[in-house]
Amino acid sequence: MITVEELISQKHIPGNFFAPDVYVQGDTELGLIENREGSRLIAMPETLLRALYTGLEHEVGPSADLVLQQCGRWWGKNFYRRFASEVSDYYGKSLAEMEMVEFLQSLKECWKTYGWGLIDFDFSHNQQGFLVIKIQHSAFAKARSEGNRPSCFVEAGLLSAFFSQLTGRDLDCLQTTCESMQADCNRFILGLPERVQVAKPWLEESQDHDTILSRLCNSTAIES
Amino acid sequence: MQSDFEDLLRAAEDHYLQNTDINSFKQQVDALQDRLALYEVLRDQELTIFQAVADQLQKETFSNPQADLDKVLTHWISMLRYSAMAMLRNQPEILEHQLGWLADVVGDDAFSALNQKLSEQLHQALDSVLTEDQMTLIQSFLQQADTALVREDSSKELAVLG
Repeated sequence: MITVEELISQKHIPGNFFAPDVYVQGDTELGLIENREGSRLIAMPETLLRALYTGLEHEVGPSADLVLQQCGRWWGKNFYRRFASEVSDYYGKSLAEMEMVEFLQSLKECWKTYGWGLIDFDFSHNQQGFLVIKIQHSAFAKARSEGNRPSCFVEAGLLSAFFSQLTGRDLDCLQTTCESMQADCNRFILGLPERVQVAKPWLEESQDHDTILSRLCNSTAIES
Repeated sequence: MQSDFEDLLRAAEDHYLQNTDINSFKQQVDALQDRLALYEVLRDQELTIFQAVADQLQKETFSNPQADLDKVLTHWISMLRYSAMAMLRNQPEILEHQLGWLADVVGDDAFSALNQKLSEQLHQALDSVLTEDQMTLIQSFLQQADTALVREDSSKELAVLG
């Protein structure tokens, strides 16, 4: 027997915490943009992002990629902390207690509401120890000038730090396709550093995503 | 709601609204009163509506455990609340933002029979408490929910094909 009264009388029925009309709030009189928890947000115009890329390349040259990745990692750690705290408070349970589908959907909605693009996950290679992440309409790629290699280092750093915090294991992230190179989306392969790093030379040889992923999975099979 | 009034209010910043604008404004105020009345009915009849739905569900046999029934019913209660708010404010995107999330959480094949039956029962329960005009007002939002959450059982289609 379902007693609807009990269901209705719950303190609140959790929905999409990151619904943009509720999550992003502001007071233009005070010059504030905040999230629904009152934490301050900043809006970063494309021009500023472009200027950061260009300025950094001018200042540190080829090391800019590494600096951006480290910035992404730092950002990812803080992002994870905020995400875990806000989502746990709202849904009344820790990330570990959440159903996988709820967790992933929350992350997807968060990513979208932050204006970072549409993120999706492919778990079909998790037996080999790899997670493939796809991002469409990436804000980080859009601000990049067209190049001949994937260049969303902030995103790569952010993802590796976020999932490292989530899993409690140090993970690395390699970008294999990039919207700045006219690819249909950004693709990232996430896994243990020693396993992911072996693919870097293949990327420099301009091998495509499917080939790199297949070689990584095969090399894992041979090792085991 | 904002979108209905916004253009007129903006126009009123530098000139008085003309009679046609005023008439349009009055129509929107009347429509808002109708929407508010419907919102109140949905709020006040929430228990009646969903207890009727739950009672009908209990008569059916599903392969899902009881926890799934509670979960899906709870999300449909939530969906109707968001539909009511979207209808009141005349902003379908309020519901859209929730349905994207809900479709992944309770929209997969494991819940398809439940969602299908729940949708049917909800339409029946609403039919019995709302007037025809009120049903028309909420219909597009229910349709939005059905599109996101109710999927035809693909195994049935395959059976037909076979």
